[in-house]
Amino acid sequence: MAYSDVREYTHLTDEEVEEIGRELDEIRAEVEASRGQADRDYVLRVIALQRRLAVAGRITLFASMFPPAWLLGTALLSSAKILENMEIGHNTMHGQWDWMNDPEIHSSNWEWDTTQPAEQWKHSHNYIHHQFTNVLGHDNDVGYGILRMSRDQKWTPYNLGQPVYNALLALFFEYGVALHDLDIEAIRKGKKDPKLLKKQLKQIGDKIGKQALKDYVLYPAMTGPAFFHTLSANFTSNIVRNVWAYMIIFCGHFPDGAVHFDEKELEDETRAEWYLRQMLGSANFEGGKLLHLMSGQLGYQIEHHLFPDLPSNRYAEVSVKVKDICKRNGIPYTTGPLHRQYGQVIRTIMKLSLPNRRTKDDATPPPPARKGRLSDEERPGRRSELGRWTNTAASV
Amino acid sequence: MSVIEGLDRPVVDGVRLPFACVDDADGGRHDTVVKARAIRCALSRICGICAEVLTRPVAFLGSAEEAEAVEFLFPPCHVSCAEEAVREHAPRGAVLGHAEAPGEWVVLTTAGFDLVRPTKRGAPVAFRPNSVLARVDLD
Repeated sequence: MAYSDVREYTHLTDEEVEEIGRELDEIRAEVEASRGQADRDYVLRVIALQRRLAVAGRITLFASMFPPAWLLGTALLSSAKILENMEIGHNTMHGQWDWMNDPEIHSSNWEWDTTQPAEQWKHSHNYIHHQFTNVLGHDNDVGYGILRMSRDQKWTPYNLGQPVYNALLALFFEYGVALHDLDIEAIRKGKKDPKLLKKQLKQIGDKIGKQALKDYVLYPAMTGPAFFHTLSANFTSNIVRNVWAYMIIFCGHFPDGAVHFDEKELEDETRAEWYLRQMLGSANFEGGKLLHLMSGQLGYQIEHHLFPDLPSNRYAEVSVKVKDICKRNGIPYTTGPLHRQYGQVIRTIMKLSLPNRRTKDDATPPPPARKGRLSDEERPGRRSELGRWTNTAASV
Repeated sequence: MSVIEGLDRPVVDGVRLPFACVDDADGGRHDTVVKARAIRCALSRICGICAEVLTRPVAFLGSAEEAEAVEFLFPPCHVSCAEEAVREHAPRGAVLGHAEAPGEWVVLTTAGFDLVRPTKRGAPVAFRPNSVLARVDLD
């Protein structure tokens, strides 16, 4: 179920929403005031670890014709790629470490080990996804343009293939991400600027070429007689990283409890309303420090969406305070073990491959709307491609 | 190469509009920052003037009062774009989202910045440099 106004979902008064905003501002200010050497040491340690894993993996693969060495090298390289993408690249490109003024660890400089160019990621993820989080028709992360993830999205026979599309997306996730910023919907409707499309395609092509040259030509060639074994190990490492990244990202917004929205005029929301939408639209998962490290601290997805540019190593401490705010104000704080969250994602994908009339809605109904709920006339028009009504249609 | 490089920006009053002042209808005014564009610049890490990827250090351009308060109205930009905007375009009427040209233009360079979302509906966003490196007063 999608909601046209964040406050429609809650029982909170305007004053309560603003007070929540003030409390979250204080949390942010506390972290900013204490941000310093310990945080710098953390990210430098993670980068050093990632580079050691990568070097160890590449060296081990010189002996990749021996199965145990292939397995060990692949595991080391997979771990290095996961760390680089999740905890280092993703967070650096959010500007989490810009304050250090490091010439390399900076949002303007970092280019990550995956096929999507950093520049396009900063638009499709940092802007489109974080600004329009879970807003149907705006946030391309809702199903990555190929999966139906909400009952408010129109069903077509194409959706019957969702289980297959989902498996392919997981395996080749980096390519799905690479094409993310092209906006397939705009291309299909002929609204995409051809000049921009051409430039984006060239940029993607160049990046895919560089990645392929590195993983499938140069490094395998360096191992001489083990060329094909190293190539297969590198390919497997990319697949492992793809599946892991896909699972972590899908667990951030699609388990039960994470809400979708269909409001159009989002630029005009207040900071407190923006905070509230981020909390309602995101979901955490529980686990130990290693799990959180390997998922780029996205087990704290709610905290990441509230404060995307604060250092990721601080999300754990922030989560205690955010959870308390949610508890005191009766706001859902969606979390659970990773396997349960992912199980709910898979169930949603399977169910939504069928028309709504064939399945039951699992979503928790919202609390009764408070006084002052928007009338139909006050609501923004829905996007027709979602299969929903518009103001005009509603009045007919 | 920036993917946005080369995108056309309209010319208003003889001066090209900064990217952050261009509205959805490809029009706009020099004295008005478009909020959606400002947010996009901050999150996508692109220059508010030329729309290309930001480089380090990041520059903020505004009045002496904004520099004192370390909070700016206009989104981040390149140092070179900021200097060019003041030296070549400001004399011809470009005010970079300000209601009127400040008495003195100041460029503050920083490694990082925060996007400050408004606490009231309809209010503009602001930008807070969080690791200031240098201040340059431009006449």
